[in-house]
Order: sequence, then C-alpha cells, then structure tokens
Amino acid sequence: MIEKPQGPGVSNLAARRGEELTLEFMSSCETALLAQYDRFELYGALCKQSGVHRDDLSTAVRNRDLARVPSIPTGLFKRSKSLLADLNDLEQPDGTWTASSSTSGDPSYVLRSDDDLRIMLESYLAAYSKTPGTDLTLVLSPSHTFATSKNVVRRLELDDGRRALPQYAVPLRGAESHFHDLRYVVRIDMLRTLSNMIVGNRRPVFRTESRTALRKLLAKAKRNGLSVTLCPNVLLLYPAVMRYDIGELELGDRAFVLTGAGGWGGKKGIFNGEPIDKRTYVADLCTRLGIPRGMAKERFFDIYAFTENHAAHFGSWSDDLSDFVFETAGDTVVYAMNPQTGKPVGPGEVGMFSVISPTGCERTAGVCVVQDDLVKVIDSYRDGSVKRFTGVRRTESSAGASAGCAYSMDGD
Amino acid sequence: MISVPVLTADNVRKVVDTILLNAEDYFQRTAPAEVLAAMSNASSRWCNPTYGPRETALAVLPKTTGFSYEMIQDFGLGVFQMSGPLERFGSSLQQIREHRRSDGDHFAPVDKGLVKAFGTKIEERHEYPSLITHVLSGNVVGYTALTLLMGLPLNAGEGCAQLVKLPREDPVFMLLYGQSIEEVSPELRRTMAIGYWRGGSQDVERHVFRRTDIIDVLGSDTTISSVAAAAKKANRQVRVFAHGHKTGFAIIGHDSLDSGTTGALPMDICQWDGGACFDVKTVYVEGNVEAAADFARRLSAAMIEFGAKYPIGEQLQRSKWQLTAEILASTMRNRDVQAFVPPDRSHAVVCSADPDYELVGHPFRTVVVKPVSSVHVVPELIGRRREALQTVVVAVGGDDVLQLAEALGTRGASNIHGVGKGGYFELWEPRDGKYESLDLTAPDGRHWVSLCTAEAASAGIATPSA
Repeated sequence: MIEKPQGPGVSNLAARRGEELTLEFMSSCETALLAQYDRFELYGALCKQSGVHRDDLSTAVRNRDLARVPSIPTGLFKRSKSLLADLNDLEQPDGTWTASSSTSGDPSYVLRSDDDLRIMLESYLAAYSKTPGTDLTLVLSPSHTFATSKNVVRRLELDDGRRALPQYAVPLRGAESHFHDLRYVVRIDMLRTLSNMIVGNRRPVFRTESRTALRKLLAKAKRNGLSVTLCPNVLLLYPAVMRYDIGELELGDRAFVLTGAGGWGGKKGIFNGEPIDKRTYVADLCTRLGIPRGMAKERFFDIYAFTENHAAHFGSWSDDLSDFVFETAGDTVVYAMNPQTGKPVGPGEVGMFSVISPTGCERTAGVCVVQDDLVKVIDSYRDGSVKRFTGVRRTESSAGASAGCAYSMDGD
Repeated sequence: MISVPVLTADNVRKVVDTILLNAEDYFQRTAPAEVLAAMSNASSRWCNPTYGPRETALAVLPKTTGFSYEMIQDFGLGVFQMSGPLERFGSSLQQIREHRRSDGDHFAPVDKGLVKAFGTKIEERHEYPSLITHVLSGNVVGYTALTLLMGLPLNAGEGCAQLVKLPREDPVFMLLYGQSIEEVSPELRRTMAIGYWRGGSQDVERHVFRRTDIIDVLGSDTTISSVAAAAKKANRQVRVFAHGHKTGFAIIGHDSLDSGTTGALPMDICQWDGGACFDVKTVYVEGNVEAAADFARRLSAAMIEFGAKYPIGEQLQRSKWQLTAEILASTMRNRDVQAFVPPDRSHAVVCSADPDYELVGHPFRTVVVKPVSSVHVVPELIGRRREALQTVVVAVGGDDVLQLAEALGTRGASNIHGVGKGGYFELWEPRDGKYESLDLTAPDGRHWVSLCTAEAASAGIATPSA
C-alpha cells in the first residue's frame, strides 16, 4: 500500500547545504505556500488576520524569513472541529486519510497523496538509518498487517469513500523494510477482545508475548551473538522488559531501544499505563538488559513525529540532559515559537514546535503547521531555525478549560 | 515544600471519624460569632502582602493552575480584600431568612442590594448535617475558600464537619488557606479535612458518600452527574448541591454604548481567561448591526488593554492559536459574522447578527456581540439557555433595570450586576439561585435573584425604597 520511494519525482527535498537553506528548497516553499494560500481559504484568512498577504509570503521566503509565515495549528485537524474540508483538498479524487492514534479520543485526519505517503515513509527510513543495524528487531506494537486490516481501516474511514489508515502504519511499513528479522511480539488477546465485544466495546485488547517466550527469543539472540533492537511503543516495551529479574536478560552492548510517538505520559491511543520518567526508564532498561550505563547515548533512541506533518525527527539519549535530544529532519525548517508572541525563540528557550516543509503535503494545508507541544531549543542554525531540541512537553489539560462554577466575595 | 494529603481506602474511615468527632465537640462549645470571627481572621491574613501562605500561593499557583500571577493576585486573592466580611455574612443571612419567611416575591433590600424569590415555595425540613463534602473545581482560584462558609454555624447548635476534595488543577490553594485557619483556630481546622483523591476512586468515595449528608459539587456537568450517581448509589439520603457549567451574559442599552462600558466589560469577559462561570460570553447591544460592530471593535481594543495588565495564563498561551483560528474559520463560513482578533491572538470578539451563533463552549477570552432591537427582548433570548444562566451584567437606564431583573429572574438568571462587576458576587447573594446555608435544614425550593445596587448605581439604577 505504501511503497518504498524509488526513481525521480518523489524525494524528500533537503532543506540545507551545510548551514545554508538551499535555493531549491526555498523555491519549493514559495510555490507550496502560494498554492496553499490559493487553495485553502482558511489559510488565507489566517494569513490576513496576521497581517500577511499573498505577496508577503513570497517576500518572507525570498528574505529567508520563514518564521514570518503563518502556521496552521494542528488542533484544527481534529475530526471534531469539522474543518477537514477546509484543510484538505477534497476536489482531488485520490488520496488516503491518515488518522492519528486518538489519544484524546478525537483523532486528527490528514489527506495524503501516494507521493505524500512515500515522502513520509522516506522520512522514517532516514530516521531509522541513524540507528545501528541490528540482527533481530522485536516490535512491541500492533503489526502493520493489523494496522491495515479491514476492521481497522473501516473504523477509521470517513464518509467520502477514500481509504483511511492509522498514521502508525507508515512507520511500521518503514521498519519492516529497514530492519532485519523483524518480529512482532504483541498479539491480539482474543479472549479479552471477545469479552469486550460482548459489552459493546469493539476495540481489540493486545498482550505482549509471554515472559517465557520473549526470554527464549532473547536468550537465543544472546547465544548467537546477535544484536537486538526493541521498539517502538514505550507503554508496551517498558513493562515487558521490567517483567524480568535483573540478570535474566543481559544482552549487554548488543541491545538497542528505539521508541516513538510519545506515550510517556501514560497514554497513547488505546494503550494505557503509568506515566514514565525517562531517566528511570533508561536506568531500568540498562539494568535489565545489561546495557553499560555509559553507552546509553548510543543505545537509546526516540522519534518525534505527529500526524499533521510527514517528518520523523530522530533523537538519541543525553545523560547530561536526562532526556532525548532530537535533530530536526533534513527536509524541514523548524522553529520553536514563543506561545505568547508567536515569534521564534533561541537556544535555551522553550517554544511551540512549528515546522515548515514544502513536500509531503500535496493534498493538505500542511506546508507550515504548529503543534502545541513545547520543546526546548538546544542549538539553532544561523537563520534562527532549530537545529536540535529536547524537552518535548505535550499539552496538558488547561486549567481554564474545566468548565465549572464558583462564587466570590466582593472586594470592597 | 507543600505535600498534598491523599485520601485512600486505608485512611478514609479514620479521617471522617476524626473530623466528625472534632466538629461535634468544637461546635457544641463554641459560639457561632466566635467561629465566624476565627474564619474572618484567617481570611484577613491573606490581605497582608507579606503573609507567608499568600506569598507561597503567588509563587506556586501560576505554575500549578496556569493562570497569570496578576490574575491570581488581584482576582483570586482579591477575594480576601474586605474587612470583617463574615460578620456581614451572618447578619445578611439573618435578613434573608426573614425575607424567606415572608412571601419573598418582591425585590427587598439586603445589605447593599435587592433580592427576590421566583417560583413556588416548598416546606421541607432536614436535620442539620453532620458532614458536608465539597468537590471543588479548578477553573478559578481563591473563591473556593468560601465554600467552607456552608458548614459554619449561624445559630447555636449549628456547624458541622467538612471534607474538601481538592481539584486536580489546583491542589494547593485550599491547603494554604487551611493553614491560615490552623493558625487562628486549630480546633476549627480540625473539623475540616482537605485532601485529594482521584475522582471515581470507589474505595474512597463509597465510604465518603455513605457518611456524607450533603455533597456540594462544583464542576462540569459530567462531573456533577457522575458524583451524584455515585453518591446516591452509596447513600440514598444524601443531598447534592450542584454547581455546574454556567455562562454569563451582558445587556447594554443604547445609551450605554460608550467607552465607560467597553472599558469595564473586559473585567467580565477575561477574568480567569474566560473559564469562570460568571464570564460573559454574549453581549447584547441595543442597536443595529453597525452599532454592534462598532461596539465590538472598541471592546476588542479595551480587551487588549486589559490583557496588557492581566496576561493570559501559560496554558492558554498555547491553545489561543488554535482557539482563535477556529473562530476565524467559523467567521469565514458565515458572511454575517465579523471577528476582531488581535495579532497576538489574545482574545476574539465576534460580532454576529445570527441568533444561533455562539461561542459559549470556548474557555477563553472570547465573546460574541449581538445587536438587538430592544434590551427587553434579551430575557426571552437567553431564557433558551436556562440551565446555564447565572450572572447577567447590565448597563441600561434606571427604569429598565427592575423590569429586566424581573424578566431575567423568571428565565433563571440569579445574579444581576453592573458592568465590570460580574465577578464580584457578594456574600449576601444567592449561589446559583439558592441560599445553601439556609437550605441545609429548610430548603424553600425557590429561585432567588439578586440585584447589586452598588454596581447598579454605576449603570444608573435607582434603589427603590423598600
């Protein structure tokens, strides 16, 4: 369904040569932004409200002042906002809806062309290529086959006859093509799924392979001197490893851990668990898997990505920061926006993650989107955009959002 | 370091038993005036800018609640900026008690305002409660201290134990306030337990609800339904005082479309970043569409000034980009709608002649301005949202106010204030149409409406002679 990119025509356009933004990237940005302005009235309205007119978009790009370009808040792509027709090009007959994991119960939907999907896939492949190749990959997540199964797809489909996919199908497809000897070690728990169905809950229940089965797999890998990658869902992966006693697994420096798509807060899509402290997680996994503590930087990886943009930003563990440090994907320009002013912030400061990329958004108003996740900038390019970031903080429920009531005294 | 006490299945029995015993002992031998004086004393400490718990609150609450320092300081802790309020509270309630005994069907003076009952009086008697449980919301700061007034004695033989469930969004303020009560009267403090448990924790709630006589719930309608259902399941006798989602309205007469009104109105729209029950979400302007649009434009400018003094809290700084974009999207679809959103997206004022256009679901500094041919058509319009009605701020001519108050009371409004005073409820005012301190033993079933003449004076209301 999603094919590995091949041949000319589809490519992830490198944003930079060295420090400098390339002419080709900037020219593509200008074309994509103007097309987005013309095709999506909502984007035009947001620009005008920010005092930015069509010509200003060109000027901003030509002046390499991409921070001036208004972004679309990713929350608008939530299904409940009823803006999908305003944000996606429904006039084109083709396209696949990609839907988020719906942690909030309100998934985001983005329409993507086949090329868009390939570009997203390519971005994941680029991220995966930054991990060392291993001999065995154990995937703690529902499988790609499950993600693209009729039941899942049907549940996600909107009423417009287009195909729909869960977003996580794309990274799984990439993982299948990139990693060696990839095995899914999460299964549907049929008994509990059927029990759930009886009480009207149609969501499947998953279980990790038994403690013994997983241990056998890892023991065999150890015996044969194989290197192993464990990935990607931290809410499944962490408890699965913590089931073992210290010294029971001991893969040593041949173990690698690659997480992605969040879940640190204790919830990701249908998966629930306790919030996970990253420092404790790394320490615990080092102990259980026998990874030398000093090698955590080369053994623990994470990918920051979200539905409304194709890019996968690769990160590796930093003992100094007790967090992952991410490099911005090579085909994007990223700013951390001061939430109050909307202006970009610099190294050491915290801002909302805002990303610009002219590719991967052929069918959607996704050239420039802003997530309400906060990130801390580690260092920036000369043009002020973000080179590396850390401290990804998801939006929590707003204090003011809890509708309720209280009464007060007069202050006289 | 502030540690939040957590109620668990293991300690809940002991906690409840202890406060019940302490309350029985303390209130039996302490005069009501002495209890109110102690609470007054605790509250007045918060007026001192160098008071320790106050300083702690100002250091901590902006981080835990997401509201700005300025907002918490002036509006949250501003609650305590009054001298001897609780003595007034006691005497005002005695006046109201008298008024309730009469037919109550006319606006009668109480303290600085007027009150009137709507609906049919019922005769019902209950034993004075032993335990009141307060389930608090976190949409505002400071005001929650006042919930404790409910269990204080107005007469000899009254006063009961109180259990406070802290809101997840603000688990700190009530603990600090409890510290002040401890300072002035450790014995009074021991009649109260203030702590947290995760809503829906059956082991804790089953026991709490079984022992509780009255549950006072502030929160979303969903919270109220689930608390009420769990409480009734555990204890069929329990009474639920519910304070659900409310929304404020403003009515501006054609003679009041001036800068004084637009200058004061942001206080009613932007306090608590638009998330408080009294925050105005719809302003009815007497005039045509052009007059309403002009008013909306000037209101937006005034809201910028308000925002400079009271910035949006950190949480909403992030979501404002999306919230205002949603509003712009809605205006794009509806050509009869005009939006005024400043470049920093700190608020949205929308002018719409469309009677169905609403923004009431937005917990943000948003408001819709609507033209009306006459202020007297407004009660009918807002009466459609009876379940959410509470505060209405008015700026109309003197004769019109009483007439409007009558009509608004009939439709379910309970607190009528002057412009700029929407958030300043006085102690003698009903709470969502009820006087719960009096309802503890004798609910009268009627809907009470207050008209604040102090505020009304600024809007040109003449106090009628009693």
